[in-house]
Amino acid sequence: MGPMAGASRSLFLSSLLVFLPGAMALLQAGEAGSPPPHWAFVPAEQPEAPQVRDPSWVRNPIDAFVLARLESEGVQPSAQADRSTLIRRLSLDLVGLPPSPEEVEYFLGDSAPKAYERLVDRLLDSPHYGEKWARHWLDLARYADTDGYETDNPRPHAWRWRHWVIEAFNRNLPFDQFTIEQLAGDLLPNPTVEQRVATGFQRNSRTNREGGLDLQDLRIQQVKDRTDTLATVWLGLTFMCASCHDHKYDPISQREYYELYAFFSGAMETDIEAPLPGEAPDYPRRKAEYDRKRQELLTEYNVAEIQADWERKTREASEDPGDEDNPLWLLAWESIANLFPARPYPTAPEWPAGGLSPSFAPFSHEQGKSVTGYNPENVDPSRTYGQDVLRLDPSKRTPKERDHLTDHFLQNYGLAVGNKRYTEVKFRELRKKLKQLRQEYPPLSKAPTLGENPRPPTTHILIRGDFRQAGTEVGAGTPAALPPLSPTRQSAPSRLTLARWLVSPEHPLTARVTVNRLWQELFGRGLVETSENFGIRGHPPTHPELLDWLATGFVAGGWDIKAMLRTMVQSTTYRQSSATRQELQERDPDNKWLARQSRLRLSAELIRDVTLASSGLLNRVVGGKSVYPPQPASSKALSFVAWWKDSEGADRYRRGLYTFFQRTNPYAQLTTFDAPDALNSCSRRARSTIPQQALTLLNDPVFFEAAQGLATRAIRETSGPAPERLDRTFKLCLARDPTKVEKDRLLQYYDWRKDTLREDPEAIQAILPAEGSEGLDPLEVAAWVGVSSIILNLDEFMTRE
Amino acid sequence: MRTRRDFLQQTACGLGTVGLWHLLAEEGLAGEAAGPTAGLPGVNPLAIKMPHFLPKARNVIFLFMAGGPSHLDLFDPKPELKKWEGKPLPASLRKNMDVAFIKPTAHVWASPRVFRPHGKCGMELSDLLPHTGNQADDICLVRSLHTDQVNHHPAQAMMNCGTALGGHPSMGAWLTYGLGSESQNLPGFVVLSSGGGTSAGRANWGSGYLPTSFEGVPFRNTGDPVLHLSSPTGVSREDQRARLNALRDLNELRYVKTGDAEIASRISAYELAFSMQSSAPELLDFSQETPSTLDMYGVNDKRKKPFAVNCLLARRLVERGVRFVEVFHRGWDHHGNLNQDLQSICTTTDQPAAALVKDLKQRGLLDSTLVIWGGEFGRTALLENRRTEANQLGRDHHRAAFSMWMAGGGIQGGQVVGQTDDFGFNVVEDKIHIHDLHATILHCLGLNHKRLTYRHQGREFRLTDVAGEVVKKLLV
Repeated sequence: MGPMAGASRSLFLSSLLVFLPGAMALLQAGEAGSPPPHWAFVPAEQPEAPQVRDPSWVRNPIDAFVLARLESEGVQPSAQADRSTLIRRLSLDLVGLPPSPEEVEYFLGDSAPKAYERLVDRLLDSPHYGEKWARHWLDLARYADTDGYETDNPRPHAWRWRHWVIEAFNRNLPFDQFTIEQLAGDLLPNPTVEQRVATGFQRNSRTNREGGLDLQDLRIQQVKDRTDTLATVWLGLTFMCASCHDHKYDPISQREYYELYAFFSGAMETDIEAPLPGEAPDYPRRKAEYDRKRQELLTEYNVAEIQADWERKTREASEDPGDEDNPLWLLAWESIANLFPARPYPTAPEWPAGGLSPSFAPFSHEQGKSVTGYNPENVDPSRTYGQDVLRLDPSKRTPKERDHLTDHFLQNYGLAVGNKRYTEVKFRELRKKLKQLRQEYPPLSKAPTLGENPRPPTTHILIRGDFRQAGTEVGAGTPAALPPLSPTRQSAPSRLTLARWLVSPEHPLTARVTVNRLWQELFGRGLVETSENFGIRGHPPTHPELLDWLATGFVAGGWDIKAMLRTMVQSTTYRQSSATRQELQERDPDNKWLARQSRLRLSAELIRDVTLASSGLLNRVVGGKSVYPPQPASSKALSFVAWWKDSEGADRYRRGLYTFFQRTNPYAQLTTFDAPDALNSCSRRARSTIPQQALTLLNDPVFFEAAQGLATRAIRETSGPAPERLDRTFKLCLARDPTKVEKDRLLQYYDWRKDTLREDPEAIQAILPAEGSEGLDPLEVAAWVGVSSIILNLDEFMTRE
Repeated sequence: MRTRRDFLQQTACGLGTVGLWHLLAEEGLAGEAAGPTAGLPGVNPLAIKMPHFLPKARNVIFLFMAGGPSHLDLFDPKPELKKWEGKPLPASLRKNMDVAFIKPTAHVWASPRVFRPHGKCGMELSDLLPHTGNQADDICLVRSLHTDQVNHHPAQAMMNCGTALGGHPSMGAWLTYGLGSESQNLPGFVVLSSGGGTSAGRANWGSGYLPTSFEGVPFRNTGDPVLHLSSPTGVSREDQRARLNALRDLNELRYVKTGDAEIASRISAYELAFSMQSSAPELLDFSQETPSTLDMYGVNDKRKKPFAVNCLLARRLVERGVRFVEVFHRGWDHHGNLNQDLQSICTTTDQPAAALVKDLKQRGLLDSTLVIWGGEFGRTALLENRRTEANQLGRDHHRAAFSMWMAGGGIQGGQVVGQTDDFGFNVVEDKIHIHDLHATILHCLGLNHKRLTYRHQGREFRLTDVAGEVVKKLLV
């Protein structure tokens, strides 16, 4: 991207910096002579909390920093929000679910000291805490359940990393360890399965499986994606700008971009078996039975013979790519690269002794290039795994390799021989039987992880970012404007060195960037508003000392996320009312001074969660696989390959973060409410207001079902007349009682609705839920569905006050 | 404390309601007497914005032919290829060739199509496009486009978003961001689709880093035209209105308590949703169209119907002020069986697309509506043979040269711009990159592509990245 108007000075400075490596941070657009370094590159030091005129307002130092600013502006802070607002606010912020009426009642009646603190502790201990805070991390990690390109294949094991994240938050894994395990868990000494699962963070890069793809291009795109994501998530820097040329504003040269990139260029995708508790004990016996039955089926359909013929022809085609009589066999050869599962972990027992499979050496043919023109040394070896297996002598294949190849063959045989032949051999029928068998004997859960390529390619600066134009070779390194890497005994620094560097106490960015995001989720805006960009073009912090106080405290306290959240939500600042004040609207319309809390529309997932929770439909199981809530056929039809199958039973009512995320055609409710696209790291979400949101909450069968559920629930849980039932409905949804005027207005609707429905028994029948209203007066239920729908659509309902 | 007048001034649609007023008075919240006040705009992200200069076009209809239509068999006759039939390309062209499936050594396959001149301008088109030929004097055929991408998903993203990187806004999103929408009760950017989902999926109409308000809204072929447009069974329009009234009253009370202008936006969004519930079905009701109009598009022909309906809908959307309509039609990826499949897809699309131009012209809308026809790349002059049972010849992807056509909206019809070499391989005259195309489209709508920017990640982004020149030759 080119220079912008008014940026000529920065441009001049950037060009100077090419000659002054390491000094760039000093040259933030300032006065000539001794310009101050850009604040974010200077290590944080713990500031003293300032003195304030009203110390009674100060519960912890956060309040001192905030109040000092308010006092200097001559502005009063806002009063504390009322208690029902506070419990709903805390519940939504810490666990993402509304408080139950009983929890509200208990809290309102708890006049003992520390009632608030006890509530906070209870919520932080809830297993739903991990779900709420994992979701923010998934945004940053660009988590999705599909590959993200044309056919957008499902990633059946992606959820396993999400499961790890939820657990990591719940067991309050310190953020430094959290960082190390996700970036380099596989490189830790004797890593546990879970530490390897953590590296699934890196596997959220998109993968293209279009035929005719350049695999080298793909590998480089993925390495860039991992580099850019790391920079956004931990450094809060827009590193990607430097992939084509030196960064125009920040002290990042193009060379430094590729030095950071080099940490990831030697990585390789690999899947591991990662059983959840309870899966493993009986597995060997089940596996043996499964293998036997599978073999019987394969024999029945004469697979061995047909496969041998297919293997031979495919291999032959690969050896003679110029032979035009074999285009389909070449396609078959290529598809093995595109469609095979990831290479298993090199140290897994099945990997041949000595590490490297003998077939691993690059194959040679015309011009030393493959059919599609890539140099096999430069692709992720996982992508050539299938081809390597095919070239192996069958007797040398491991059982897993044998199974993978047979599965691939059964699915893709038709590609080479045409549909007629494929139908003849009845492989569709066989695959159905095999699938059924798989369901009877489910395999161990697997996890997508990262490993090291045993033959890492060299890293070069790519001229203008173009993968075809390799420039100077570079090694792994970090930007000169940031602290140096600690020296290692190894010859070259690894991902592990990088991860440890990020969480070293003197690092100026990681802690600031991280606490700022926690703050952002609780206050609606980071102390640095551009939470993805702490560079020169990012916003400066509104409260720089407060940011540094939080960041240094975070590091000193052992990177303890729960402790940090506890400090933030216990502040008086957090507890303020969110109502606007006219005098503030003029002076501080964006609430940067924090003289009040902010009203925040809930995220897409939380809108689903609170709706299901209030209506009593929510399935509260924590963790596990992704689910497919029902959506209309017209939504499924927008997919290039339409395969979405609605979940049944309790899976239909799981929290929003478990909804299967299909990148090219995401579940509409999510994107309608601004869920990110999972293509790039997302550090803060937009909050838009569009008519499709209204259509969703009013008419989407999922939300209408919730209105039905809420109606029957409210009727069952109260015995009295409509006003009492309204109290209950309000409590379930808003954690408070209705005011008289609200009550009058809703009952006015209710009376009218009942009158119209009385004349319309067909409408009553249509509105009644499929189940759940047995024994209740249909007229009452139908009328109350209307009332419930109104309440579930209230601005207050979808807002954290 | 907010007054009711403040509130009404912040809502886009000025909702006067007697009911609430009484309630407010009851609670002692009514500070001053304020009658029903016409609301002032201010919270509508799709409010009309001024272009940079006087535009020729107000609306765009992009007929996106997903898969990569073969320029060699439709738009760009290459008689020289006959001489090379069955031979490899000259070595100079094979070097650095970027193809998806075939090898650079594959053999030349000349187009079996017959080309003949059309209109006063004598535009040469293939026999597969007779209807388009009838509009030749109104369309501008561009034979000199090229792109950076050779696989479907990245190339579609390139054509629609100006980059293959994910997360960037589509052209329709940029235009509604830049100009707003003149429609009061329909989205500003509507997506229609026939022939199945497209490779790049949502990226083709996404808003990327722009606010979600600018994202294309898919209109559906089955069920509700807009997702969840119909009220649930048993909920009458009367009941929906009654619920919305109560909802609005309660939301207004919340506004009075919190003073949050966002509540006014929410109320507007609910009112727009309610009016969409009646305007969208009206849009789909073709009963007021004359039989000759329906026939002209081919709506009554079963094979043509899906695309014909969408072309007609595109005109109706534009008439109702929708800024950008993108009609996706998948099925142009002819690696094999090209002769039969290309003929078949042309039979279903040629007539409706041509009818759209003709119809817009008859109604005086063509001058203000820019129509674009094209896909993400072209196809090679080389034979791709994916035969299984029979001889099924096809062509591979080609990015160095391809054709599109444009009409109306400031584009000079009746001309052919650009030229490729004898193999339809490289552009030799008037090279037009996607960025140039985008710059030209924005120009037609009165926007300077260098000034239509959005701050993201610390810098200004634009549809044309750092490139793009307006192609003056295309303009009136």
